[in-house]
Amino acid sequence: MSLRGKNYSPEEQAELERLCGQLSEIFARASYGEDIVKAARIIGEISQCAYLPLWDTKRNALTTYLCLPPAHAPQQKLSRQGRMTMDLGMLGSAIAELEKLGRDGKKFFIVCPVRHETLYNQDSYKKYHMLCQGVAQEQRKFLILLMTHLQRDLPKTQAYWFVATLKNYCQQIFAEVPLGQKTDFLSLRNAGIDAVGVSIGGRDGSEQETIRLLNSFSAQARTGRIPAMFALEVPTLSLATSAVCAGFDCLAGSAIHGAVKNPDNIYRYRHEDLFAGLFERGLP
Amino acid sequence: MAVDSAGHALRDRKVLIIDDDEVIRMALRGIFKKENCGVVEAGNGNAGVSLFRQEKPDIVITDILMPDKEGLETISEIRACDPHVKIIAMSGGGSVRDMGFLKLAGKLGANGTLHKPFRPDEILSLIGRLL
Repeated sequence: MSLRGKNYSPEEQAELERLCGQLSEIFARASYGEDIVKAARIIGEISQCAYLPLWDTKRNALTTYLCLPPAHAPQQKLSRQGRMTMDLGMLGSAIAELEKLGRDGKKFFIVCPVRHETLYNQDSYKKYHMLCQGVAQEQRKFLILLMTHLQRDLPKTQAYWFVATLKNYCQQIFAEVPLGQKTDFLSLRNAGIDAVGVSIGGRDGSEQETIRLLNSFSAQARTGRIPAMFALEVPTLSLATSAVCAGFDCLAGSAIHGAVKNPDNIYRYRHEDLFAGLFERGLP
Repeated sequence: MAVDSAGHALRDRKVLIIDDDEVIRMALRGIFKKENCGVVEAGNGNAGVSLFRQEKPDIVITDILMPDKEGLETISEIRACDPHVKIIAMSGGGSVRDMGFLKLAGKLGANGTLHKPFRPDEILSLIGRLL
């Protein structure tokens, strides 16, 4: 089951609508500066986002945590307003976690997803931008923004402008693109994107086809001089090993580690650890 | 010498080849048929484990990077079914990186390992030492 494409019951849907309404109200009341930051703190508390550890396959460590929408957030069924509120909520949660990181002296990176439409719409962009300003200066080096649901023919100037603006508030900017779709890697690189990746959870089609697409993606991304590649929602060991050998730098998904409630430090994770379950089973 | 002994040892035995690359399967099938050896084949780990249970081969030769159950899980499951069957793991590494999966294959119960590409006499000689 896809972490970000779950099917929801009517009760879960109702719960989400209630949550979105609550978040929208907070944002409607908070228009400027400190209000937005206060709202972000509240949203961080009530959003109940989860975090998925990302395995840095070259540094052999779980270094980074991907913020996931609240467990009961059926993204595909949300209204446009609801989706924007979720993006704001996830950044709110990330800000709250980064503040805790500062207090506890831990080290980790948070990847916070934001939809293209949230950045494209003037009203939501204004609020997102104000929220970004609420990230404390010393914590910005631990924040990575992940642009998702990019439109197919994203104008080069738009990509450049998003990256140039948002990079003031974070360490790096990643972009998620659909697997199997033609991607202009060179433009993304020129816009200043630090990593490009795909989500492979809940895909139709065979694993063999997914592996073929991962290899093709990797070859094209390297030709486009993309500095790093990631694969999210990796569900099986066969896809994880294939992605690693295809040159993907970061992987996340149930094959590597389940979602956690809060980000929690950097941990050593070598490729042997992928097969820890097999070793635990032991030899007969 | 080792190749000759493999030829005798292989006669009337059954080999299971698990690899998603049809060309590799075809090449290995040719090598083993010449030795009068029975050959069964699977294109992924899931199909390989099922075929192992049905056919009870004497030797399993499996790739590591495959769809639908990669080689290490496959070795682990086959070894759990049969502690005595001879298992050989083979890998050409990945298109970009080789993560040393063959070393792990040994730890999970493979009796021998081979880096792709290999010559026919290399696999026959390895089998000769194992049987």
